[in-house]
Amino acid sequence: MTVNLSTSTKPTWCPGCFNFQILAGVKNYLTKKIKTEEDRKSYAIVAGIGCHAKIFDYLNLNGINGLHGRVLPTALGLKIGNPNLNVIGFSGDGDCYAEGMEHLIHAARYNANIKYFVHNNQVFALTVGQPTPMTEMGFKDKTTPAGVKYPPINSIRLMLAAGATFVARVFADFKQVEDVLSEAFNHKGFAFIEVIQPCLIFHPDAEYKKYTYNLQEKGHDKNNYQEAIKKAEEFDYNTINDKTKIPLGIFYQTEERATFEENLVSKK
Amino acid sequence: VKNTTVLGRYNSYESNNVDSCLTEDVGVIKANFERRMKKIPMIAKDSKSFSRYEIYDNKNKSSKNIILSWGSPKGAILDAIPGLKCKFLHVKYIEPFPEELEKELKGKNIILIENSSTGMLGDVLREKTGILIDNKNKILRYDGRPFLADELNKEIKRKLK
Repeated sequence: MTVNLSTSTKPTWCPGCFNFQILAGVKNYLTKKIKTEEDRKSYAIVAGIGCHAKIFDYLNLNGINGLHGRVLPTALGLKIGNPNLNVIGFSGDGDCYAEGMEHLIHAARYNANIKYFVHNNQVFALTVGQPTPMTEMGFKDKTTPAGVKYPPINSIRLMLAAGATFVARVFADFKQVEDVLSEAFNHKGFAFIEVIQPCLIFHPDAEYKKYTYNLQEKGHDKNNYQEAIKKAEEFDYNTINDKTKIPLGIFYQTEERATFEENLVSKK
Repeated sequence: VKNTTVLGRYNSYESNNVDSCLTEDVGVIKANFERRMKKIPMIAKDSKSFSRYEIYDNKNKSSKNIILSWGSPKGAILDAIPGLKCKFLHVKYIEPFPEELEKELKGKNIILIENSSTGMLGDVLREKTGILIDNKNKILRYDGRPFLADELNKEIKRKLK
């Protein structure tokens, strides 16, 4: 028996948007996992506000499409209510690093068993292209005619410093998303997955894909924290030239810390 | 065609009420607004079941002086008014507006006491009922400190008729 994860809502992403790749990757993985209607009930999705959040309408799963930047508190609430639920959070870079930064850092600290995607297109695309904390310096639009003056956040390094137990970055390619999601579900704890998802309309210069390489293929030791920090600093989201190297794959993974749910139970 | 088959979907935005998917359909958006607006008269009806304002008659049931206030000045006012020829009306619930207030306040010498620089309750009263409180009859404090009973007592005495 197969379960249909599609809805009849017509996608309103731009034609060719990399969000379709993320949707396809997530759907491929879940279709393999969800065999019955009972299985379907064991999954929940949470989305914020932004282009990424439309994914909520295209997945036939339980969940909440909540407030801007509040994906993680909502997901954490779901997890407290039902610790056996498999919760997947979807967030954008504006949603996660601008509006919901404090939640992100505390979620890494709590280490709840949530799988968290950040669709990073380095721009507020839904509201037609204002800069986010991830936008490179010098980026111009109507709201910043003089160009962005501040360097972007290095989110991978930030999450490593905040104590996330699973930190990964992938390109918006359905195969990569599917693979990393299955790795994330094998991980016990908070999984932070950043997806580089170039916006075709409002951030079109970013030809990231040709600079990427895979960490696991290069023999990166994902249990080594110092190595992970070094790899995180290879790409700063700011400069793109021929020397740029964008590491993809799992930067760091550890299961030494207890999860949020385990701490809940042990308190009783 | 049924859009989604699961029921546990929630959306905090303008959506189809059946499956919680975002919508830009003008018909659905309009229907949602009308549905929400229908709740207001129902809330107004429900709010009559609890006390929305309280009158402290201060042994002056027929006094034409009435002190109007809301929120934290209540305690100081109650301490200030014994012995003065006035009643005290404390508003606890303002939206939907308790219409009975008009009956209570019409034709009285209203003294507004508020911890604000504009006297917002007076503005609302003017908007909803047409009753205008004279600026001379407003005791407003906006220096970040609470009202004190003895100071209020002197102020109120000056404004009584």
